[in-house]
Amino acid sequence: MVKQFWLPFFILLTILGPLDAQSKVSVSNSVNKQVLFQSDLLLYNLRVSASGSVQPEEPPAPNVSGLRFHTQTSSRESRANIVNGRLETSTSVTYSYYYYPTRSGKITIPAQSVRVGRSVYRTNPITVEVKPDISSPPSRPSPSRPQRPSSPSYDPFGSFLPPPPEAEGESYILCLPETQSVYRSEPAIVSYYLYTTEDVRSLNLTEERDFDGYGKAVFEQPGSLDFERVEYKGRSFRRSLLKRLVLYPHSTGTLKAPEMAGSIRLMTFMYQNRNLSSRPASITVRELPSGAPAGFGGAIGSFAITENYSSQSVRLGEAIVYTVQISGQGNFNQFTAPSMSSDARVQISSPQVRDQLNAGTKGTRILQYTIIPKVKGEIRLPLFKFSWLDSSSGKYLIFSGREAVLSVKPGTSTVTTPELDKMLDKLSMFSRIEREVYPPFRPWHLRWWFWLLAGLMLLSLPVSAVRAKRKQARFRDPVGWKNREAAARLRDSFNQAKSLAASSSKDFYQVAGNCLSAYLAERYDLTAHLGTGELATELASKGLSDDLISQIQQFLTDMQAALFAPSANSDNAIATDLPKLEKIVRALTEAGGKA
Amino acid sequence: MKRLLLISLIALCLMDLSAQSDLSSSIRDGTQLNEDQKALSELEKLKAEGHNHPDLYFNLGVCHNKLGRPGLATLYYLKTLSLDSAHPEARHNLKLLQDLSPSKANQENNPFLVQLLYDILAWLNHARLAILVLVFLGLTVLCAHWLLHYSPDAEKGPPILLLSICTLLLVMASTVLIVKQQRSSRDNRAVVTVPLATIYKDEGTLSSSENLPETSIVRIVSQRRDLYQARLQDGSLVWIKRADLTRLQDI
Repeated sequence: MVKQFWLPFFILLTILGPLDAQSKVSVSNSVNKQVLFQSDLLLYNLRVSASGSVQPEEPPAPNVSGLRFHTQTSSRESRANIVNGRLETSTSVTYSYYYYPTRSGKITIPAQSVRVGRSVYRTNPITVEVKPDISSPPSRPSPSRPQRPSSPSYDPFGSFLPPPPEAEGESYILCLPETQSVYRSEPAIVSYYLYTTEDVRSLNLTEERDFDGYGKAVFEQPGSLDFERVEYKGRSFRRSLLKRLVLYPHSTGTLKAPEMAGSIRLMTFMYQNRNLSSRPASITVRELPSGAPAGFGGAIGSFAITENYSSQSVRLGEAIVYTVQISGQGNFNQFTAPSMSSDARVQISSPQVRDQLNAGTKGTRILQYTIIPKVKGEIRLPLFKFSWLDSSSGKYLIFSGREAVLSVKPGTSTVTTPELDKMLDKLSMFSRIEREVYPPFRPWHLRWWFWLLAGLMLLSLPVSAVRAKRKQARFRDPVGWKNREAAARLRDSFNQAKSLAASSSKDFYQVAGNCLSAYLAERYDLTAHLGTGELATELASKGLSDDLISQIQQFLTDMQAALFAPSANSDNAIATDLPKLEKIVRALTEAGGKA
Repeated sequence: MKRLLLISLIALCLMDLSAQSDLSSSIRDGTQLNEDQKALSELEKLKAEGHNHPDLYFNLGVCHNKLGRPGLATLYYLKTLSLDSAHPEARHNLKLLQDLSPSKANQENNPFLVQLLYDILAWLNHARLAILVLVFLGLTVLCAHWLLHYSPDAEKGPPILLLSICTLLLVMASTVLIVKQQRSSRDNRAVVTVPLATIYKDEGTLSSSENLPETSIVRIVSQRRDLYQARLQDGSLVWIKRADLTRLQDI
């Protein structure tokens, strides 16, 4: 029953729905400008909108006398909204037609018919006024700025829509110095523009060739081509800034500006590339005029200077900050901040510099000096002076700060003056070191005494090593060491005896006997004063060879005879006994006397 | 009436004089300039005679700075520090000069520990390193003596440990001294002494859009024709015209 009631209602809605939608179709037309210049582009829009879907027949481009059709585009926009649970859709179709004026004067775009479904809608005619092109400012172009819509030559599509086709297109890069003459070290701004009458879609800078006599910095470099209309050599061009450089001339004479090269992409009937180079440009660089004032630090340009004291009344131990602001255009990156000298009453720091500059050329430099009074009372502060060469007038100018008096009261601050002095010392440059003479400077490690000390220290090592080795040998093998020591002494005594024998001294036997007895006693742990027979027995028990024992016995007997019963031919006896002694000593020292 | 006119005239003159104190053309008064120039010429004369004391180079730097040549001042401060890396006045003035420079390219922002290490190495100038080498050599020799004469049956740990430590310190001090001496004698640094030096990435095309301001410090890697290949503080290699740079070795 319910279904039977609602079914006709739904069918009715379905049928009436499109009819309702068709009733809300609207057609409107518009142009992007009512007044335009002959070289401008005119955009004529035709918009068909309806709630619900709409399928208009595409209207042909209106044929307008005085306008040349260039191209056309269309776009469709659909929207769907849910309002109070109900779906509402709307559609709009926009047809855009681009025209170029072919004459000046008033031109009327006639009314146009648009068929939507079974209905035909008509637009209103639109009249526009076309003016002849105006002349642009000539040779010295201004920086590229977007024109306002109120400007008569404003063209919102100029940057991406093609210019009217011309018989022969021209494109080139021009280098335009801001000024033709500068002083040495004065920044010279040069701008590189692309001038074209063609449909340039993009440009790629590939090379920047430099010449002698300058340093440079980038002042401005746009990210995209932004065209404006200018007149150049009697023709209408579109131009776009490519780059703006700041040149800092080092030397006087004619400065050749950097040469820019790149390739442009053109749209004719198809894309094509073309290489371009900037045309040569030069600037005359003049020497600085004479008569530079004292303290001239090389600043050239047009500057405005302001100053400010943070306070003019402090307590002893407190500091104030003196701020100087230098604004304008000039060679900021080629001069340093002037220093203010301290005196007996105040101490002034070196300045803290803060820059807000574009390419070191244009902007503001802020200098801050910390001033600490040393005495209380009224202190007349030193004057700040800054001199520069005014590039416009060619004269040296001096800025003198105003005379200021600092009122210093007795200090109650917890910050002590020495602390502030210390802080200030950190901010001040050291002056020259006063010296009467400059002695020859030679690093210590290149002086003789350094190497002497090092050599002595190193030489002590081998000496010490020898001593240590002997010490260790004695520690490790005491018997062997004792034997070696005894043998060494025996050799010494033998040498002594040998020298006595050479002089036929009677002491030969005494020395020889003593050294032999001492060696035998030390080497074989024998008691002293043994008889010859007992000695032979003991030596035999120690393993000495019989031959050696008999030689020793013989020598000792001869020695006793020579000592206690000297004869006339004792000299001959010494000569015969010395080889015997030598033989005994050799046998004892070489093999310990053993066979 | 005449008096009134005279007073008015004097008042006008006074007003004119007071206005000139704000902005006026200047009459040359080069007293201070002459003092610095005089001192500079005397110091240059001493340098030409063969004097090479660090204080001489420091004073030259101060004079150049006062005469408005921060590039040359930087160069002489560097020369001072090349001879005596602990020269406190040169270190201080060079740092302030770099801070005052419009360019922040030379300012190093090292981590704390790295900066501390650099400061320690700078404090260890040739003289201090020479003393340290002698002290560590003496200690090493003493430890060697101790080890040589150490009781053979005793544990040799203590003398070996001390000897190792002293030897390590000796090697470190000697190495630093040798490296410093080498770097000082073959210092390849140079300073931009023109207001702005153009840098080129490629030697052949000489095409560039970058520059280095005065007082920038670079290291010369090689040279060809009228160009230096230099390494910047950030490690990049560029070409710079010879006329724009002054090498430390050239002064």
